Amino acid sequence: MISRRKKNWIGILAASALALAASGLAAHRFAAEHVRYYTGIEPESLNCVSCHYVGHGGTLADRLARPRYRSPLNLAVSADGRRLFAAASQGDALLVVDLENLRLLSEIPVGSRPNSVALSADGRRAYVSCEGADSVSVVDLESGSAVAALPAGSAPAGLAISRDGSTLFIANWFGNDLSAVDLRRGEEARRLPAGSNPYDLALTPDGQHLLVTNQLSFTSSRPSPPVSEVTVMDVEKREVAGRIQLQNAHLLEGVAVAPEGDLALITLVRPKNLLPATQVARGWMMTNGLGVVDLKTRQAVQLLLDEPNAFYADPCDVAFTPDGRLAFVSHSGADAVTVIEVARLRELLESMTAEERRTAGNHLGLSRRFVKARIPTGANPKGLAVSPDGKRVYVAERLADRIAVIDVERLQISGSIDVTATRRETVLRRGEKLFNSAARTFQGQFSCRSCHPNNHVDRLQYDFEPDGLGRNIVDNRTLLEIDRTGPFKWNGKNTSMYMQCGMRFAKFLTRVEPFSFDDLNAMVAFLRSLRNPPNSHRAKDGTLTPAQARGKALYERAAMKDGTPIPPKSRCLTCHPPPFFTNRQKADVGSISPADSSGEFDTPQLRNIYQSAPYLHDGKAATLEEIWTRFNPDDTHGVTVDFSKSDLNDLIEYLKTL
Amino acid sequence: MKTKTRKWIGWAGLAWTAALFFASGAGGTERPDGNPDVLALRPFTRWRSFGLDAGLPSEKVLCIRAGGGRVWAGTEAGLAGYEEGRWRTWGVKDGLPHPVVLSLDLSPRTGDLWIGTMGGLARLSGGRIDAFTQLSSGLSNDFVNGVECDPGEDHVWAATAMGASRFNLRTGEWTIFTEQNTPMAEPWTYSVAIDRGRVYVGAWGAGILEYDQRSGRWREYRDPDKEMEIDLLPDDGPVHDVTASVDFQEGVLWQATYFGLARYDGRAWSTYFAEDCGLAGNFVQFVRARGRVAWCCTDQGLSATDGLNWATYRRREDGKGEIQFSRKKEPAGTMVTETAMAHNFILGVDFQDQAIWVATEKGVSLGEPDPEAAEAAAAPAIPRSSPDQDAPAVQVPAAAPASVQAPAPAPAPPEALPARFRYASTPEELLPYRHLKIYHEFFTAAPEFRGAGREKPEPEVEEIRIGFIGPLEDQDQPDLPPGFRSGLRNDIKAELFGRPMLRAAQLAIEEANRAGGYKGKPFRLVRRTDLVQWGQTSNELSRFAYQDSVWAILSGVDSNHQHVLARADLKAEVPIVNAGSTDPTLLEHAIPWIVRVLSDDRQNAYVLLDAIFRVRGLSRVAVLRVNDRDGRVGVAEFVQGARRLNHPIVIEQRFLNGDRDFSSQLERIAQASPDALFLFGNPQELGMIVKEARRRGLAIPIFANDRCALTKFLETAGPAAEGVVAVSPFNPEGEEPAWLEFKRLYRERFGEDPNAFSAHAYDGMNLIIAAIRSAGCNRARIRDALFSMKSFDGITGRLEFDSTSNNIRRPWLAEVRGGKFRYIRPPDRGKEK
Repeated sequence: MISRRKKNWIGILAASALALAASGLAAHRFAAEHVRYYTGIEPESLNCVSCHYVGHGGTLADRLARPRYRSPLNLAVSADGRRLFAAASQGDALLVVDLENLRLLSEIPVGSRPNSVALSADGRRAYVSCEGADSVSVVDLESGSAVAALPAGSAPAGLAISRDGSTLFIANWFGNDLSAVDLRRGEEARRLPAGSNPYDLALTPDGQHLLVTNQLSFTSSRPSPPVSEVTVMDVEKREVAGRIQLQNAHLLEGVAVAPEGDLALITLVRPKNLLPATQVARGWMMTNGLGVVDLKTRQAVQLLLDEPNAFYADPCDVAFTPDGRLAFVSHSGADAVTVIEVARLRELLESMTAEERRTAGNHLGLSRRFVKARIPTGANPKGLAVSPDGKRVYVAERLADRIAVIDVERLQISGSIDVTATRRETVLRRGEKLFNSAARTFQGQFSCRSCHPNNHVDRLQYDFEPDGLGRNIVDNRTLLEIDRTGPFKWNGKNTSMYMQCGMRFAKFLTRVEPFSFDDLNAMVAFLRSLRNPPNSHRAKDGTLTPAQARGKALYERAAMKDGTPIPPKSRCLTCHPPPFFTNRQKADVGSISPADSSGEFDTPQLRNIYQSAPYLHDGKAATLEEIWTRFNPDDTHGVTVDFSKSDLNDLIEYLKTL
Repeated sequence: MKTKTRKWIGWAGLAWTAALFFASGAGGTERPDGNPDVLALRPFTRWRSFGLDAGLPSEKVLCIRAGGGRVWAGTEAGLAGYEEGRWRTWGVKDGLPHPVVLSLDLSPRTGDLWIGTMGGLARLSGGRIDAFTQLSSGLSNDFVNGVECDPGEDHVWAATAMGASRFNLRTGEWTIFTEQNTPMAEPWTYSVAIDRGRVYVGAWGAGILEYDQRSGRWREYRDPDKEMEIDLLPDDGPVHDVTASVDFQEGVLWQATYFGLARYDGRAWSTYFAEDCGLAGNFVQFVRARGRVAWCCTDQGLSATDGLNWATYRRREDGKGEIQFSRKKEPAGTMVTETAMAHNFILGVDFQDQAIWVATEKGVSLGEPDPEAAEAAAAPAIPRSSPDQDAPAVQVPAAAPASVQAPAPAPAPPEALPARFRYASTPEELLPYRHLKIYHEFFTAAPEFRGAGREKPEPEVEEIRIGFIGPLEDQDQPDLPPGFRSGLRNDIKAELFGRPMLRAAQLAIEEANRAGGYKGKPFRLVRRTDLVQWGQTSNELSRFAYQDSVWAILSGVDSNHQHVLARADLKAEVPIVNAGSTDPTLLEHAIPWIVRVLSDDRQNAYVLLDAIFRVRGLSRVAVLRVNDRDGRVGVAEFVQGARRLNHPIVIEQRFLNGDRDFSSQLERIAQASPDALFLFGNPQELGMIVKEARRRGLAIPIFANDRCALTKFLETAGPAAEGVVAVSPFNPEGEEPAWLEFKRLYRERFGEDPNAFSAHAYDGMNLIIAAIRSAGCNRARIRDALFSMKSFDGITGRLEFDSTSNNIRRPWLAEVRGGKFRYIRPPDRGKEK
């Protein structure tokens, strides 16, 4: 017989269970509705953390939920071949690897977001460019510590040291210029204009010239195919000696000069950005290849590394073996390394007519004539380095947190160096891998990163909508700070990132199966984590220069100079209020073009706006100035009729600080 | 004699001997600072010239720069680079923002070439041209007269028609320096020189401005006499406030003007005119310093000077070259060379090793010293002859030490002054500094154009295009940058001045076409507006000259725009007839391309001063003027004249265009107890002021400028206008048949009476048509025809031109009686003896 007391307990327990079940059901329904409401899609799983936890590494919770990855990006091998140095792009460190035992020896803290490593001729110092610190860390390899920081421009990336050891050349990625640092004085001696986003450097074997790849194409004020540049510098004069333009190509990243000194290889991507994106299913919309530069004539021929049904997305670094026999190209989107037989490449080039050279960049069948092998790698292979004896090639598998070792003789991965600090793959890491992988696009033509290098923009305009050729062409938009600046797309139709990256994305762009819900979760979590790099126009203490302060007053003004009130809808602050300088509403600022279906566009955020040229929805304004000098004839985009040129300059100086 | 005294005498004798030694020039050819003087430099005797045949895109070469193993020439049709004996060219197709290259500089920090054009600034770096325009960048204006790279900072300075722009190459920041943030009178800048952290900006109407980059402070060097038509004293400061070019090296600042040259060594100024030294001509468009020697590009040859000695290069009519050496005014010899520069109209100069490169109106010239002279070792290699000999037969070693020239003492006023040239028919009592002896008077002769172009044959054209630029609400003009259009709406200037002028000009064109046009070809009016922001007028001028291919231009009202137009036209070389601006300084620059048919505020002031002080016997005049350039320079002659007549202005107040409330100004004026009020502004504001003044009981006589004599004033002021006296450029109540016919035609066509601006625009257009018919389709010859006219019978009466081709016909007075203007012809004091 069950005692009354027990009955009571059973009753309480049953009631509690029912209440709990009811609460759980209600919570589930609430959560499902909540996800539905915010994502616009039907939830398959409800993982609060993936949406609500986006840490940036600062707190204990961050460290627990988001372990630290090192993410090796670029490599350098010591002259004796015993040490490998890797820039740990997410570890803020220089990794020192013992190549005899293939193990990580030490981790030397350097500045924020290291990108590249260059070694002094005596092997006693390493120079590490730090994108996030706008400086180059000088590492004393004997003491194993950073001993100084050299000045650089905005987001220093590629490095090269002159043969005489006197000058360190730095590619200032976001500064669009090059620094020549006098290493004896430790001062920046020259700042030289590069192309658009200079990224990597390579010295010619005679040490007289330096080749600089420029990642992005020039900004154009009308939708156009990309034109990118390889900058040639005279090392002794520290001057720009020439510029080689590559038509229909961008994402020029890796560069290497053949030991013979007669040609250089440049990695590149050839986008057909003005074709409707829906055409990707026909193949050949985003192709990947090389620029082969004849250093005597300074003429470039473009060749594809892709094959008709197999694309090798995002070529990003290239290296020659010391004998010049082979060249290796890493494909960060395809998780592979392509091996090129240089002699056959030369044969091919010699056999081509001028017309064939001009059109070779569109020929998917040529790669088989010079590609010797494809070597699969770990996730996101980036920087390459060749051992001095030419027997090994090292590959930085950035998102695998490993450095692969390729046996040049067998052309296979012969080992790897694990540099990871954690075994756990967070949802953010998974998202980052998905973002950088081309595996989820038709034929593997491109990754998300192909259009959003550095998680930002490629400065191109695209024809996305399935509404006919040339209709509704839109400028690429940044992904930085995207979690706080929805809705998405220029027409503001996508209210959530789940919708943006979900079915429609697969239907119209990737043309493959959509992401699974877990993958979508991971992708969204990664996108939500993206933040702007430090603003190089804003003082660290937040003080404004006089011009910026005057610009701020103009930005916030409510009346014209003669006292005439400016209607609220025409004030800057109305549509672009802080903190992200968007009210997340659609507006018609008179920017409609004949090919647009509507004149209303989502109000873009303005953070780090100076890095996002061109401007307006279709990129018709090549510079910030043109927004008002050319495309605001009737004061529909703010009241500027009473501006002097100085006023406009002040306003722009302020906008650059946002 | 005591020993001590003997010692003193001995020392004094030694000092005197030493002084004589140096003063006599026997101290050698080295200056105390180690720089050789000009006479010790090896002359350039072997010349080679490059024109179209050599590969230049145009023979008109506006600037030249040498460096990095190359020579760069900026021409009227693009950029040319000379390397290894070959010219290579760059044009608009290569990315230049405009084909006309006005200025060049090589960056000592990057090796890049910076190019100032008529359509923006450009950088040639590694073969790539990047363009910076006022629409696409922070550049203040597209008309880039000068460009200079800072050797100490990553800065590039551009002197533009609308202020100086500084571009920070590291941050991308543009900073604009105008009259808003510097002591510049106006934002028209023409040249920049940088040395040791100091920036020198040559400005029109503001002399030279010095900017200390460290302190951020400005300092100005101005013509001390503050008069445009004279230079009062020698060596007292800049020659003139209109600076054409400036350069600074080794502590010496050089100012080139259209009136002469000035030098400042940090202690004293020296001024140079062709009449009193070896300077080739007073019209100096460009100066480049090399060490302590300045090379002056004039319209009559190339002169080099260290401030004391001169070497002047010219091309003779027989094609040979001539080098004249002089010390101050004293000839020191002449050398004749078998070869010469391509032309004597020099626009630029630079040096490459031992060679000199010269930009002329007929190509680029390369000058080199005689190689044999180079072997003559250290001895000065100047072959010299006596002044009356041509052949370099007599070899005379150069001598003369170039001691630092002391400023000449100001001349004491002589007891009996020589007769003054009466520029602008100025009444004797209104002449500036009339009790002093004037060192140099300008505008004593008509400005001459000595450049090339007259030889060009008349081209085959289907129509004869004439430009009109004025305040027009011409928003549909297709090539006007959209960003500027919003400033055009509802501007009163368009209604009062622009539209009437355009209509009258169109009538004149149609009439001329009915009379057969020019040789059967019709005239066609090409119109552009100057009613835009940011110094757009200079850009419009370049469009007129190089896009529309007009033969002449009729220009409008606003003083700012007219000045920008005139200076820009010095490079474009298109004849301009102004029919709407009364700015007295508009023609006071010696630019030989612009004439005016409307009486200016100098002539208006003479008439008003006479009416106020002599006829009415008033003595305490208050001035209330619009606060813009028109107002500032418009009342200047009146204010100075009143002072010279011993009746200084008792108070001067200002207002802004568009103001509606003038009570505070009128209250202050009333407190000053004037017995007359002189107003200067546009008719709408003037009408409101008169109304308010009368309402306040200010019953004193009111006088006003010519824009008051429009019906808009009467409409605005109403009955309060009664008794107001305005100056008028002509008598619209005249009964001359031509005037009555024009009035009839205009009324029939446009339904309203013409005003003074339309009447003068009609005369101005007829002047242009007459010049074209007389000279043909050739801009230089049309200019000659315009400047040769000493008078012209128009519908407004007989226009009378002075030495600057400014109409100095006596204006009329218009007094409001019974709600209408009644016109009175005042006496002409300027012509009275």
